Amino acid sequence: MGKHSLIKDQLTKISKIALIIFGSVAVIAAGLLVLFMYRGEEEARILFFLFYAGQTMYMQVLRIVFMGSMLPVFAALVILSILHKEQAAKVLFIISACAAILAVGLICVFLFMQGLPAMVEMGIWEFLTGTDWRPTWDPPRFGIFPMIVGSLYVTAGAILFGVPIGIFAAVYMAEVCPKPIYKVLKPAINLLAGIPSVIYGYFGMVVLVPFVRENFGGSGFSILTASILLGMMILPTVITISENAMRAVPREMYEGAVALGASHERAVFWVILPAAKSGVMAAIVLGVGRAIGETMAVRMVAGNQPLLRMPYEFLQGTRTLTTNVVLDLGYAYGSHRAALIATGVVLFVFILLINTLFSLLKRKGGLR
Amino acid sequence: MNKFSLADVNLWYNDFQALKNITMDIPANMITAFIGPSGCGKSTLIKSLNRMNDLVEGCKITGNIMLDGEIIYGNIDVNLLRKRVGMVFQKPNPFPMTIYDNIAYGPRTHGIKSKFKLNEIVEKSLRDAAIWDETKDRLKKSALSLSGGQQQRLCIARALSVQPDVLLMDEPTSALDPISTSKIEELVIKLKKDYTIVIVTHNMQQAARISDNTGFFLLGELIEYGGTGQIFSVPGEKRTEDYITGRFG
Repeated sequence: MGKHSLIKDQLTKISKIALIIFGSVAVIAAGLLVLFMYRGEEEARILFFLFYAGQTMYMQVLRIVFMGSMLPVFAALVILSILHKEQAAKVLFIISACAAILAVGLICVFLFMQGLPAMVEMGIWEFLTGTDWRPTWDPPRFGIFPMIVGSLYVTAGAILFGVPIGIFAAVYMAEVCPKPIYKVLKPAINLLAGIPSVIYGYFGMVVLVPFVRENFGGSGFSILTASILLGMMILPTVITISENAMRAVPREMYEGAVALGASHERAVFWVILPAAKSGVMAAIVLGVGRAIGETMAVRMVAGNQPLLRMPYEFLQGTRTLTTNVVLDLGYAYGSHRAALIATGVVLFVFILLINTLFSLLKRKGGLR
Repeated sequence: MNKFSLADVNLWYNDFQALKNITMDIPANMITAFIGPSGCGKSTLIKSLNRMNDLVEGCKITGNIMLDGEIIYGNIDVNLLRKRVGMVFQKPNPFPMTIYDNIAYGPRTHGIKSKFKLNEIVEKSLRDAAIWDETKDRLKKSALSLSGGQQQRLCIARALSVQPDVLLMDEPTSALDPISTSKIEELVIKLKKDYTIVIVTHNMQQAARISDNTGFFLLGELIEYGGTGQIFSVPGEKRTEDYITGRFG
């Protein structure tokens, strides 16, 4: 017994040490790689060419580093789980949770690894604030400022159209609508969420584009059209999550308001809706996330000109970050392709910023 | 003087009859307690007095309930009725907003916009509910930061903010500790001067301590109704005596 547990202790110790050592090696290796990539412009340029010239070799090195560190980690985990059965389940959960984090981490690492050198090559400032997108010129020009602005326009437009309608619809669904209507409405909204974006795009092309052309002028392929369409697309997200949030508000709050002589409407809008505030905020975040990431539908109605627009030019076409990637990626190579990946990096940072901003807002609004 | 007069009140939840031929008068500026075992209809009855039962699907009521001689299940403005007949619930239910906004919600609902007037009402209501000293420095803090007992007194203050005639209390202390309970009992006795109070309670000592009249309910029927002293010392009915002495319930 004593001897057995001594061996067990030793094995545990060894596998724990292995975990720590090789885990940190993997992290350090990944960190060094990323750091190395944009330490200086010279080195970045060399690495940039190395990357495209000897991509396979480079990947090979990466694979060896990655697998080399992961195998001992894996082995250590197996030993640990055999020795401590009760902890094995816990470890399994941790691994599952890590898989999600790993997915995000890998996307981060590879996106930045491929995008950052190109951004440094072009000059980060020139890339972000340049207003010319001329991939076929010699030398080519890659300025994505018009696309950043375009993304902001259509997202803001989508919020403008989608959020008020979505919240009112959610209030109606949660607090007003009679059961028979709800039974029709709820599946309809679920269906709305399941429609592929290309179908939305088609609808936009044959219905919204002519509508905007005839009523507002211009070609119809415009910021306005894309905003309306995106507003429609975020509706199911905003409605469903806001509705759930309102349903989660304890009934006692509603009763408390009604018992003071408040009408149903006043109780709903001034007690239930404020109480569901954080859920409604979350609904808006997800809606914004969907709007800014939407590609296909926007591509089909937005006109796609890579030109810087002013807010009053909402009847002109625009190009967003997402559509920029999808429009050019099919034929792009070399620096053009790298610029598209860098566009992806900007989009990624964008989404990170928006999420952070909203979670800050949410935390601030949570108390009151 | 009677505040409420009930005559032959029957109430059904779909097929289930929850109240059977209730006839009683509730006097003004007194504390009337409803006691009885769970499911006896006492909460149902108190909720009929400000028509909160309207919110329950499948609820049907017959008979007559009059407030100051006016039939409340007739052609009246329910919101004005509920303004006159305030309610405090079993579980403290402050709104998730600031203490100030909790109290100001009622007056604002009834059209008071002046900041000065609202400040006045908030202070008076909190004072009347004996919670002003604890909250005056944190009116802009969330009401949810208060303790359970404080939350319940805040809810009483909220009910007082619309200047009701009647205060209905549906087991207001059953979720609270003994110290908070005694604070609320003191408060209720103090409030009797200005308000008619109807209180539902599971706690017979509480009924005996604070109420002037007591009604004993069993299976939807009003078994006995009279002065609290009489009910607790010389109950007229065997079933009342059995319940009070703890033989069932």
